[in-house]
Amino acid sequence: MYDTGIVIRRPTKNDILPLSELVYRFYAFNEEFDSSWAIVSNAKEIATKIAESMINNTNINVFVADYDNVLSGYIKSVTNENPLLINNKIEIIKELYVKPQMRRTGIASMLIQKLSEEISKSGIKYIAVEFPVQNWIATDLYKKLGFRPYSTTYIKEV
Amino acid sequence: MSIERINIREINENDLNQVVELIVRLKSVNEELDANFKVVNNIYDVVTNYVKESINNDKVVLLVAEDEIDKTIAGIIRFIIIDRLFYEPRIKAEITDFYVKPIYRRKKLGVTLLQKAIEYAKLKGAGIITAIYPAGNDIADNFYDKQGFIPLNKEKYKTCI
Repeated sequence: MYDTGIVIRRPTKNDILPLSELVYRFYAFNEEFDSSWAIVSNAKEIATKIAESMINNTNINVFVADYDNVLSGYIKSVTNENPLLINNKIEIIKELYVKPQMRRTGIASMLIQKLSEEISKSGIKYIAVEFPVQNWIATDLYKKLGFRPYSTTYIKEV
Repeated sequence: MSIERINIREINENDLNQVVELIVRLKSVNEELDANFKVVNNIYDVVTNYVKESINNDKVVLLVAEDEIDKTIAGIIRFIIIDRLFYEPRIKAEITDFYVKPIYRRKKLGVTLLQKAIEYAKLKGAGIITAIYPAGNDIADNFYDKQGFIPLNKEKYKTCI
């Protein structure tokens, strides 16, 4: 393996602002694929609060991709538990975003790899991901990374 | 959000800020779809000038879809009249910017905006209407396919290194 210069690590307080920009971009992009993902008018402000809450939060897994002291991507996941199932824990990627100019460099793969290594330590054997069904960019990415369709969610207005 | 309360009309100076926001969003989506569309740092300034020039250019039509209740601009469509010079029909309307806020989607607002744009294009003498957008935009592909558009031109690129 050659050194890409990209470091995958846990975020720190110093990352809050750039991380909030990535969180905002993730949601702003996904709203384009489904109106149910439409973001609020003060989404940037809320993204900052969310980024703050992602630091040292033991209920979620968050890693950032640091390239030359600039954040170029992040991943956030939660553990879904169901004691009825033999595989009673599945790690769900709730958010994964890589800046457009840093795509096709393997960052998404590195983020997932790092997360997989971490959750393996807790005995978790499966990792899944959620995103709007029309987000073909995500579909293509996860297929390439060896994911298969696993669960389906339908939605309707009430 | 219902589109029954939406009025489609030509842009005026009072719409500037909202229209700029929508066009910036559109350009930012393009950036997500292809890194070759990385937006410039002063995108808001650039789009503001672009919209102002559009208002004052008789070759350009910029329509807005306004929510009559809260005066929100729910979507925009902009086209430019181009003389094809060598080909008939000579006059084409080229859609350069088309965006509907996500919360207003799935209500046929895009179709209504397009139909209105076609009406305006006819009044400007256009015999055909085309749309230009990044090759990786599958949402736009699906939309225009459904509306009966077919491929016309191709644009290829390589970096000058």
